[in-house]
Formats: sequence, C-alpha cells, structure tokens
Amino acid sequence: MSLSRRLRAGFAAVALAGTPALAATQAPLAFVTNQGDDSVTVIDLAARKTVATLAVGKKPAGVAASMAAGEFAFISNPDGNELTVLDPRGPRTVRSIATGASPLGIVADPVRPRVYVTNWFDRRVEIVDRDAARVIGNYAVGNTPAGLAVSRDGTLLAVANRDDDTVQLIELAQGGKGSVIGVGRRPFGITFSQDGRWLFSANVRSDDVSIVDLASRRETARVKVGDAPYASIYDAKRGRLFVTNQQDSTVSVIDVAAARELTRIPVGDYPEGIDYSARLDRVYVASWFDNALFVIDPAGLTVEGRIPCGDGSRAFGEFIRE
Amino acid sequence: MLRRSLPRRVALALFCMLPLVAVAHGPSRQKVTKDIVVKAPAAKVWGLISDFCSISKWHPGVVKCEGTGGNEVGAKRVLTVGKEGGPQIAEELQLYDAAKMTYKYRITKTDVSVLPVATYSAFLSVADNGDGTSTVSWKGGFYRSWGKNNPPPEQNDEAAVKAVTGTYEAGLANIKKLAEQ
Repeated sequence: MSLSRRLRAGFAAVALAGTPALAATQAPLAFVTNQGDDSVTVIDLAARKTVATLAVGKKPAGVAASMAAGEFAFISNPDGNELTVLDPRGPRTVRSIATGASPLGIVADPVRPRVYVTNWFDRRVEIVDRDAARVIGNYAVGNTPAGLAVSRDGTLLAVANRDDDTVQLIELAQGGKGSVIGVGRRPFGITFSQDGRWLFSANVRSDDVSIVDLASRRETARVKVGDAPYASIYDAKRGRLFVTNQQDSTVSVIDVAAARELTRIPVGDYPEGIDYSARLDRVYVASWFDNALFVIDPAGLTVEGRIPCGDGSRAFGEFIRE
Repeated sequence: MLRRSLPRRVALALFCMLPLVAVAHGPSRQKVTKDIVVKAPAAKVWGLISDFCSISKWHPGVVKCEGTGGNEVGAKRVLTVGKEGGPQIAEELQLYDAAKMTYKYRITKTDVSVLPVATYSAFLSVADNGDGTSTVSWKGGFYRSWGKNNPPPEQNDEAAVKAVTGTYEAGLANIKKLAEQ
C-alpha cells in the first residue's frame, strides 16, 4: 500500500471516529470554470452561495474536484498549457503545473495520487503525479481526445477519442493495456456508472448517448437525446442518466435500463458541465451562455434554482467536491 | 497535379467548408450579446422579425433571403450579403417559440470574407418591458473560422467577434428604426 493510500485510510478512520474533518464539516462545494474570464467560481452548494472567485490560468475548461482528487482540486487551462491547483480549504490557488499543448479533459485517480489530462491536439493523455506536481508520463490515445473518466475502483481510465468516434479503455494496473470501442459520432464527455457496469458517452454530432457495457466491452445501446449532447452524469439512486444538450438548452433524462429518453428539462443556454451531489441529491448544470449553475431536483425533474457564475461557465468534469 | 487541376471555384468552396469541418475546441468559444430598447410594443416588434426569412426586410446588410420551410424547426434560408451577387450565408432554424417571441438558428455554411465564424448559432428574442416598450436581444455563440493554432488576423477571435458584433448592432438599430416609425 502506498504512503498516500495509507494516509487516506487513516484519514477516513479519524473521520469515522468523530473528529472534525474537512469532508464531514464542509458543505459540498462546486468549482465552476469560467472560460471567458479566466476564473473559477467556488460555490457552497448547500447554501447556494458563491464563497470565492479564484483567478486561474487562461481559458479554464476542465475540472477534477471530486474527493478522488485528494486534498486539492485541479483545473485545466487549454490556452495556458497548464493546470491550476486549488486548495478547497480557503479556498485558494496553490500552484500551477505545466502540461503539453491544450490540456482539456481532466480526471483524478481515486486510488493513485494522479490526475490524467487529455492533450487536445497531441493524441495523448498525460499522467500528472499529484504529490510531485508534475507530468510523469503519458498514454498514447486516438485523435482529438476530449473527456476522461476513471472507474470508481481505479482499474479503468476511459478516454473519448472525439475524431475517431471511439472510447478507449486503459487498464491502469496493467501498464496501460487497453481496448477501443466504437460509439456514436464525436464523443465528448464520458462518465462511468458508480458500480462500474456501464460507461456513457455523449456524442455531439450524432445527437445521442452510447451506453457501453463494461463486462462485454461493447456498445449495447445508443439513445437519441437533444441537439449536440456534451456531457452526462449517472444518478445511481434512480438508474437515470442526465445529459446536457448544448444546442437546445435542455437536459435529457434517460432511463438507462430501458435505454430510452424520459424527458427533457429546459435549462440555460449552452448547458455543458454536469455533476451530481449525493449528499444533497441534486444535479448541477453549468450554462455557458447564461453564466450560471442550474440546480435540478432529480426526483421531480424540475429546475429549482440558478446560481450566478463568471463569464462562460463550462465546468467540464467532476466539479463537485462532496 | 490534382491540386493544380482543381477549378478555382471548387477550391474556393472547399476552403469555405474547412472551418465548418474543423469544429474547434483548441480555440475557445466566443459569445456576443447585444440588446436594444425599442419604443414600441413587443407584439409589433415581434411582427417585424418573427418570420425566419424576413431578415432581408429588416437587416440593412442583407439584400436577399431565399428560404424554405417557413418557421418550422429545420427551415432553411440563404442570405445574400451586401449586394446582389454578394457573399452568401446558409442558415437553419433550430428552435422557434412564438409564445416566448424567440428563435434560434445556426449557420450551416458561412463565407469567411464577411463572417469568419464556425459552429455558430444565435438567438433572436423580443421581451415585453411592461411599459409599452420592448427589448430585442440578439446573442450568438461561435468559434472563429480558423480551427487550428496561429490564425491569420482576418480569421482570429477578434475578427470573428467584430464581424458578429457589427452584424447585430446594424440589425438591431434598424429594427428599432422600423418599429418606431
């Protein structure tokens, strides 16, 4: 067991023993990247209030802020060729980490102290060591890699190879051995179901979502959604997938077992990043044009509110820290 | 050589298609929002612009609009810009809501000499201000036409924003003028 893993195990034990700990005392926080003004809006999701606006790198897009990211949150800045590291306690910026050209998709490994970053133009995913705060290697992937996801058990890294119309699965424990699976046209945002049964890709050009069965490593369904789907998040409690449709200003709700769309919920214009807070049982959607985070009640399938963000709020990735 | 034997207009057409094929994420998406307050009731203002292909009647830069499909989603229009025989821009209706006095359309084929954009879509909407006046909003999201790094000045982010801003300002000013007559 690595040192950081032992530390995390110890930390969890302390939290269970009742000692005040960050994860238990702080409300869930959202870290919304604002591409138009080079900032991140940090929102207390329980209070639905902004607690800080942090200056980051150029044109921030991607975010890895879930608890899998450990004590920090990570922002990708495609125009600055760097990541910005944020400390949620504060909150404040800590440092930047140089990357290859146009870092976009970013995700934290829940098992190893790493984050993974797609390089939009360079057919690779960079491996960033969180402790050393630098790039330590990369995986070769397909054309124009966009979104990333890691399975909850840390065995699989998934990459959307946008211009190949594929998702690529990388076995993290087996030196990056992988498989490539055909999906719809121009996959962008991808996400796993928490139980590791499925992987979902939002396919921008074919206006659908691919459901990939991970046991058979095959696409088992393709479900039509709205215009230009961008990203999705799975609500394990109800077996539903929520999908942002950039071009028709809605969120599609899919019954995953039945592989069919149930409804579309109108939200702001250019809905993009989407995430779910289990603690609050709410879905949150960043609206790029409206500069706001929309709050959706996943039980009633209604919009409950909107929280103002900076210009061009994108929030591409796991932007909620529970 | 194949490249040399291509007729010029084919080469030009291919060039014009390039920015649309190279859907961008390297460059970042731009947005332009312009509003104008009109001293006329919203219904009157909406009446001026509600037909998708009425743009040649209210936009001073558009000399001709050829449309099919009316105001149904998927309706198409081809705009001729500047003068008869001038550059053309093809557009398609994405959303239409008469009750909310709004519609959204996308550009399916641009001419970079007048509008150097890619993956462009925009909303045109009228809001009732409740005092006999109304506000017309035009807002668009788009990438510059140059999908790769190091764009020439006429196809960079600034050029795209400038062209869209000018288009919106000229159109809104004329809507105001026509509605207040």
